Amino acid sequence: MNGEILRIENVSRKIDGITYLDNINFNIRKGEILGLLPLDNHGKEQLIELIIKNLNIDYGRVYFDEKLVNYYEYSDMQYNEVYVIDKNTKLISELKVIDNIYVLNNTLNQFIINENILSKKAKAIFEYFDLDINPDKYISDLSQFEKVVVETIKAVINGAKLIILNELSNFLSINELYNFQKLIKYYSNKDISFLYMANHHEEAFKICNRVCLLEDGKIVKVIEKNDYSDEIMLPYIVEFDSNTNSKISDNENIIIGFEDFTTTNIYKLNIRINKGECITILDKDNKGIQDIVEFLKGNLTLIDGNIIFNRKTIKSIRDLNSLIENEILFIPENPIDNFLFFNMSYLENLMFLLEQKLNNNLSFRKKIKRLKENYKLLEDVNINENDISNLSKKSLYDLIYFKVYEFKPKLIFLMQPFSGADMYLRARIIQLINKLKNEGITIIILAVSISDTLIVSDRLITIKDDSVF
Amino acid sequence: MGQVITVSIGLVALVIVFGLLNPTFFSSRNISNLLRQIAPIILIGVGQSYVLITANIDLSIGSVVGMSTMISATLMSKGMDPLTAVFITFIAALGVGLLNGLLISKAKLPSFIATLGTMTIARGIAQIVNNNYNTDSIGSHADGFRDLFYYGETFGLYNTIWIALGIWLVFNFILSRTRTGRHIYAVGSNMSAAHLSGVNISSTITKAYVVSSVCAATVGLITTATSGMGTMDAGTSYELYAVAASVIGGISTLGGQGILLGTVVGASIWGVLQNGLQFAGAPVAIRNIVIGIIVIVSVLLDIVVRANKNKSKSNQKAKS
Repeated sequence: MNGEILRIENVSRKIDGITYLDNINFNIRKGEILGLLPLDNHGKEQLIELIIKNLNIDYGRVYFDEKLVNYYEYSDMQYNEVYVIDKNTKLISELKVIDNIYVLNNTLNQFIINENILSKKAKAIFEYFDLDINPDKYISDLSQFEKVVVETIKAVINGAKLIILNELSNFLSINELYNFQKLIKYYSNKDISFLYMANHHEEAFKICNRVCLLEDGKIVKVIEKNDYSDEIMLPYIVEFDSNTNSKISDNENIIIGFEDFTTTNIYKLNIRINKGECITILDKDNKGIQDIVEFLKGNLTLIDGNIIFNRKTIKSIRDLNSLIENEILFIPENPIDNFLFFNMSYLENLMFLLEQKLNNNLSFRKKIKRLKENYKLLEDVNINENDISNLSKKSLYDLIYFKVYEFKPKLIFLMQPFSGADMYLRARIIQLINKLKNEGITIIILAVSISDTLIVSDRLITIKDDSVF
Repeated sequence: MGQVITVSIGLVALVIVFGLLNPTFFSSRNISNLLRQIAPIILIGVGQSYVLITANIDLSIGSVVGMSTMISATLMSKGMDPLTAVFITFIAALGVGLLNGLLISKAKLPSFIATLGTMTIARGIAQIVNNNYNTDSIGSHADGFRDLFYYGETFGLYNTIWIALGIWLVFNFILSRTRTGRHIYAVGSNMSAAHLSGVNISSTITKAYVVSSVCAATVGLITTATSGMGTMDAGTSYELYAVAASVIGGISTLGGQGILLGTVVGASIWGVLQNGLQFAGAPVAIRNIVIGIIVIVSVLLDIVVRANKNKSKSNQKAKS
């Protein structure tokens, strides 16, 4: 057990009769970056909870910092020196960086705060990592990347011995991830341990000393660094079917064009997209695509250029309503939270967009009847479900894409469609996107990481340092 | 619908209890009066329900009732024909509704603060309309108005009840059968999803507040017809009665849930409690305490039921 920060030994954990963790065995050494790839999401959250806090377990033992802290006969419910970093920051937005790092800290003994001293201390740390973060800034003014950095430093200063990094690539761009990994490596050399949870083995292989595969609440394999290869992952990878009949037409059939599209973070973006094409716009800095999103929402004016849609020149967009009037849809990241109505039935959700399109009550009634008949025939679809919160994540994604499919837009912008999805769900999302492609719907995927987008995309456009490739 | 059935059972139980305690409770005269008492609460409850479903609140309802009472009574007492007075009253109430909607949806003020402000403004208008005095009698030329809104009967029921029923039917149809209704639920259920689905958030919220003001103005006119004059403190605390009726009837304070049938049942419970406790000889203070407790219990039940539902769902999902 020498030099271990965490050892989980034969741990099983049931909640309300459901086994979330099934005889789990793994350990993390001091200063190690251990990768954890959840092949499905079963047990992932429960494992994080258990590492943070000594909750009741049904079997096994948990050692933290070489001490037995939890075993099946007695759980003291105490917290371990663990910090979790994920998309939902735990920093206080209304306070400054220095307040979050030093003042909200159990090691600070001063009653009166000397902001100058704290600011200098923080500046020194940021300069060391070559980061341009103003310590006197409010957290609400920081980018997602800056928040993650501040949170990591705060965790270390607060005495965290293990930091859990929960699917960073869902919200950090490739460049940001690369810069952040430098910080992780620095701290791992200082004996801080990391549990790096990732969606993709390629991402984990780049930085982790070992990688564990979690499936159905079990650790199904531990891969040592020497064994890293795509071949070793083959038995655990879901085959993604990428057969589509993309109806790419000739240049006469351009549906949308970006012409010298210039914002603060994009310089003269020129793309022409044909009807039925699917392209990915990859933004390695996570700024350019945010500008595109803000432009679509009507919150951003172009510095220069325009877009051409259906042969109409558009210099600015009023709001999302005007997009929908033009049969353009924007599907946000994590659409379950942002695109469904949980107080409405399956059918009401399915029909909601269509209602916007059809004003004729008679045709609308016919449409509902036809829809009911069509969807009744589908497996795994409960068209009569009144409470969609009963549905699985997969079924909810089905509903989101069926909703889009029925609306039959001319163009869809998909923001990070694979964000937060496990391997099985990603496979399903690919099928759903292909279904839309087969209908001849034009799709623009906005992404900060390539993660599976190439399987569905006909073209990849990369925005980097204000330039386009 | 589940909560509506539950509170309906509660309503029936209350009626039986009060009937057993005092048989005159079941007299046709008392039932008729009881329905006439409940009618204004149903109306303001309908307005408040619209707003609550959008996940907002309207604290200005009571003051709009007062303002409408004072405007209509002042105009009629000065000899204006009732039809014009009613028209002007509705325009003034619409103004407050529009102001509420715009402050919340455009200026992004929290509904609690915005309507707290307009509540004070509307009450101020009620006071200023007749130079800080209650009005004189609205006069005999407004007898038709008084019959229409309060004293008259049609098919054996007071007109007040028919007005409440008519308005309830119209707004219930809008909420349950039209795209506007669906948008109101959508905004309260998930504003982000509604926005991305092309719902005009600002317009939808404004419509809800306009409905609320229209209902409050109607109650103001009923109040004028009842007393034949305008009092500056008319409608005081009505916003709370409206919230009570809605919440007891199963309208969720979190938005996106509830039906107007529930509001009717909620308003009826409120009315039966007031009436029944009065029959039982309970003082006003006790009546208020009882209703307050029932409102808290209703919301608590809603929270507990939701929490249990969510827990069982997550277990169900994990099992599957």
